[in-house]
Amino acid sequence: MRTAIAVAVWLSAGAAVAAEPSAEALLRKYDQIMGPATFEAQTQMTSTRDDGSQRTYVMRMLKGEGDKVRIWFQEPSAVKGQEMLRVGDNLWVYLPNLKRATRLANRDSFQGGDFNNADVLRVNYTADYTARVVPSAQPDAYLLELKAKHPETAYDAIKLWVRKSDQQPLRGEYFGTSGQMLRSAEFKEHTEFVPGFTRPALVVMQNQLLKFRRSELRTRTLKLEVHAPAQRFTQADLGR
Amino acid sequence: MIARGSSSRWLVAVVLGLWAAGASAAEVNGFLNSRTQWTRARFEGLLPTRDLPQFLQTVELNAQVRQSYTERSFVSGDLSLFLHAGGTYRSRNADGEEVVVGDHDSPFTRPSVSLNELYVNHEVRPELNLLAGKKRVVWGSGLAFNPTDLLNPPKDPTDPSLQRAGAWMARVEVPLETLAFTLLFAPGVTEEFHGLPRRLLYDAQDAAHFLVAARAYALVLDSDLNLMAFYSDRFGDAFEDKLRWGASFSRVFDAVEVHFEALLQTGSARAYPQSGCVRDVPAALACAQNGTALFARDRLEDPALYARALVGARYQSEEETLFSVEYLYQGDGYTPTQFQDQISALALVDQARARGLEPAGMEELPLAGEGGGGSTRFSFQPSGQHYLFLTFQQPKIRDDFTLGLVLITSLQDLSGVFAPSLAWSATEWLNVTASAFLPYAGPDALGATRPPTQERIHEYSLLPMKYRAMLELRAFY
Repeated sequence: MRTAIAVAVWLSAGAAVAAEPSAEALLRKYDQIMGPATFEAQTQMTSTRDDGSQRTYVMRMLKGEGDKVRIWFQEPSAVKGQEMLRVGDNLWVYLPNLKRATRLANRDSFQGGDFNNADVLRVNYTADYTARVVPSAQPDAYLLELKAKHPETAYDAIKLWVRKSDQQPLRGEYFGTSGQMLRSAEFKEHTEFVPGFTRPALVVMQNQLLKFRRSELRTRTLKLEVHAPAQRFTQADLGR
Repeated sequence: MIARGSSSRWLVAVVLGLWAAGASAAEVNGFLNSRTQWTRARFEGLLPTRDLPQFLQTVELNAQVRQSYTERSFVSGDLSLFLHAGGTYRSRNADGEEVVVGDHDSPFTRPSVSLNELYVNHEVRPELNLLAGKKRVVWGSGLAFNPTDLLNPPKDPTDPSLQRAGAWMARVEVPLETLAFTLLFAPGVTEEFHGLPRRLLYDAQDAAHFLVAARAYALVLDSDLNLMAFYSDRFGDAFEDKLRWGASFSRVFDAVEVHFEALLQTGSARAYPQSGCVRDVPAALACAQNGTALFARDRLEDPALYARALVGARYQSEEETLFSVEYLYQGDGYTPTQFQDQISALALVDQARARGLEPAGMEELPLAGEGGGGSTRFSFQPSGQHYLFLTFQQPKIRDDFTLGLVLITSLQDLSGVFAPSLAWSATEWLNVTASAFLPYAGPDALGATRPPTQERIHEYSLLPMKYRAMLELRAFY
């Protein structure tokens, strides 16, 4: 009888262990949530400044197959006509006053706010980071520790908390080369944008170097499986 | 023949059409810019300052209109109107003393229109794009300067975003996934009226002015590569029947963007000082008698190869500090000896002017920077062979204040221009910028000697200004 109970406990424990997702699976899920294969979204970034006043940027975002993202800035007037394009590890900004595209680095600040370019334009953590699950002080969340695979990544290390129940992201902490925390993010207002697809509608990024500054990225609308021609993701198309 | 005298009429019609479209469904934005500047004239210098207003107030009203007629085809316009008010002119008398010049008509205070862009962009299919009209097209990767830019008006290296004007053209582009091929034909503007073209392609003597350019772009190994070929006939310079080749490269290594851009050509369209004519007054008079000019474009048919190349890098730190460094080489630029000849020639001209004579043909003189005013803050026309551009930018030094420091220096005589600025993004729609241009001389040993005073002159101490301070307010709508 004792043997049978011991076997049953061992089996249930084994089943419980088997139910725990791997770090790689959690990271893939994060990528699926924050960077679906193709989508079109209307988003709004609000930066809160030192004096509490705010700046709001409205943009249209288009993501194509194979790590391609294009952004059109629509508001305010001072940045209207600006565009950004990412193809794999390549990133460009088109400034209408310069009438040309210029290359950017992933780590450069996104529109002078508290996100960097990769935060918005590159959600492919599986390609950029190795991950391991470490003990979490938050009982309802897994804690992932991410380490950069190559020097082109936006951060050297990331701590990522994802909800155990549905693996939705809850919080992120982002570290630079010195080991210093540069930013932290809260993922909020998890919303079902299309049937069966839920993701945070609001990401609040806190600047840890200038603690009085933060930026919010709000997804207003999101459509999945949007297929645009390959030319929409070429440098030559910027400005058209 | 593309146009003979009547092109401004259809242009005005198109502009009015754009404005009308703006009232309906078109996207319209732009800005109102006020620039107040004080320039201290270098009245004792070699370049005349009589027409240079020390005080200049410029107001620019800019409108950018875009009207789509299919999902991917549109008409786009970018128009600026400039109004100026200026005065406080200074010059010098025969004794070299500063004198006040009364307010008078000056090229820097005349109202003007700048039709920066006006074009139709039609996407036949994603792989075939057609464009006709005026557009600024820049293929090179240089930030402060583009050696391969044979099309557009030169930009201000201290703030390249201030030059938005392009060239008239018809363009065919074939964009593919990682490749793009472009062919364009640009007719020269041979006659203008208040900034608007009155005549294109042919001049009054029926000589054609045009540029044909072809470009192949490739995204290879995470790098932007451009190969360019240009064929020109009296377009932007004195070359006739001229073929030139260009290339550019840009890539990000870790967090550093690195770029390279080069133009290769035989001969040069530059005007060079004629040593035998600029030695002294008798030599200049002898040249004048036998019809030899002080400056001549005598290398137009030179079979020797000359390169113009720029290499640079840009880095943004985690604190968002931006550093940029660029080096420019011009194979056909003046050597120190030729710069000395230029100074000798200018000194002769200066002496002639002091005697009430105005030598002809001096507008062809290559000068380091336009020291005037008008719609351009500072235009860079390098005459030497080696230049360095350094840029430092620190945003958010407090609130939304950005500190900018730009240094342009000639590596031949170590003179240059230092341009500090402080920009405040006061609201989402209002930017306020205080800036200055501070030319400085290099070491005496590297300067040229001005006859007969023996004063040492450098490329940037030749500018007709000692300094310029500016306050700009730009309200976007």
